[in-house]
Amino acid sequence: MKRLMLQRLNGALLVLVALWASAIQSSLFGLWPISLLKPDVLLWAVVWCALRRPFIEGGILALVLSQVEELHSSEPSGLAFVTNMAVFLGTHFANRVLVIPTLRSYATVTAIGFVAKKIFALTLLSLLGAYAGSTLGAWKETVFWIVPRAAWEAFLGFWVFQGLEWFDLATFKSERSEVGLEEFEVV
Amino acid sequence: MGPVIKYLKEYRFYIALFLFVLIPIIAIDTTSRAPRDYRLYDRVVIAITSPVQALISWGLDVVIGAGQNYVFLLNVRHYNAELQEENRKLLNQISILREAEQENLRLRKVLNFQEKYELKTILARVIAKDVSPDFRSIRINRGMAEGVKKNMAVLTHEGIVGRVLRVTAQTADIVTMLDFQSAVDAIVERSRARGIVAGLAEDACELKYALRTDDIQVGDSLIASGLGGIFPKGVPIGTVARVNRKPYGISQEVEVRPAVDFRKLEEVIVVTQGEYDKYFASDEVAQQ
Repeated sequence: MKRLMLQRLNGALLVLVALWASAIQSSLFGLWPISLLKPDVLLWAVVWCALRRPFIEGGILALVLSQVEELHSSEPSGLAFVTNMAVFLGTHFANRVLVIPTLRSYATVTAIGFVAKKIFALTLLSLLGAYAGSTLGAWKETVFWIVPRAAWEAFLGFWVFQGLEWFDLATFKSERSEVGLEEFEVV
Repeated sequence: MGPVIKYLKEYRFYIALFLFVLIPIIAIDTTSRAPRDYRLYDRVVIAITSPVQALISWGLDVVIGAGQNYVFLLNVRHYNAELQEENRKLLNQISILREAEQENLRLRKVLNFQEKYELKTILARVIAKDVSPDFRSIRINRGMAEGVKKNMAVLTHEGIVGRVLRVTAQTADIVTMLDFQSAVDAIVERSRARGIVAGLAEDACELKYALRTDDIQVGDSLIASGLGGIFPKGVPIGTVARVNRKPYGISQEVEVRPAVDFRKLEEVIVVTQGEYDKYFASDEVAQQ
């Protein structure tokens, strides 16, 4: 009973953890010069949902996480929804076509997702005329930092994914815990 | 009903895929250039996260303050002597400036202007910054309960920080001058050239719509024009850092260094009310 409850609560707990992580990110990484190393915390959660959750459940979680991102940012309404869902769908379908076996691969996927998310967001904002200032300036600023930030995101993501794997094990959501349960029942 | 449910179950993947594409497209609303106001569930989320943000920023202040106290004690004697000398010079300057201020007051009364205005302000602490590195908003620990409202000006003693974007009972989000969506009407203090200061980068803005024939030089100070009804006229915005004037074209490229050091921003003041409402553009008052 306890295992079933934890399994059912996994999604809500994941959102709660993401909430607190984004709160920590926005306050701890708000100070300069630490702010130069600010990671995109919710991107890790979206990639995890794309790779480790069924399609519908993962998609709903990605939408909720996008809402969390919007609340802690001044970005235009809907931008987080569009970019995060693009990353979610791209990662999910890539997982169907390619083999993404280990957490190191997840980190690589995160780096690619980070770059894709930034470029997609900039393209969308440029096309929709959302900038008050120079669009070229925004592109220069983002492209200059995109590679080191993607590498940093991937590096930290490896450790975060290990934590999320432990979280899934603890809430009996991972495949290993389900296999373990089946073996236990057979015995 | 049975066949419908069977159909939905059979094609649930495609239905979900369609919804996952449609919902974000419906949600996007960049034409408004601003996020929507908070709804009830948004306020619940903010209520959960803002205490964590306030706690972390308080903790960081304690740690940094303790470290600074220890390090700076090492230079206290020398620093104290320097401060005393500087204080003496400043006191002299104050007395001279007071005289000039009195003269200015008299002249402005003659021209039917009012120089000083009283602002009602609230001091607030910055507890968080934008989650996304591409957008530059901050969150402060004052909200509707203290009288903060949307579109109120946010300043420091150095100059303009930004304006209030949205509020909850205990917190408010400020879109800063550095944000790509920000636009502040500005005047070059020396030459009175006009333009719009828009956010550009982590520590720079640009002055848009400055005509190529306008007299703008590196080092010029920019102040708020008062137009737009948000920022009081004369509040510093920044200084010109770079000017690129081509031999052709209508406008020139001007990069602006903000007056406020956003990297070290800890406290701000929110202007809740001010007599400046009548003096957005003093030229209009003079003509009356």
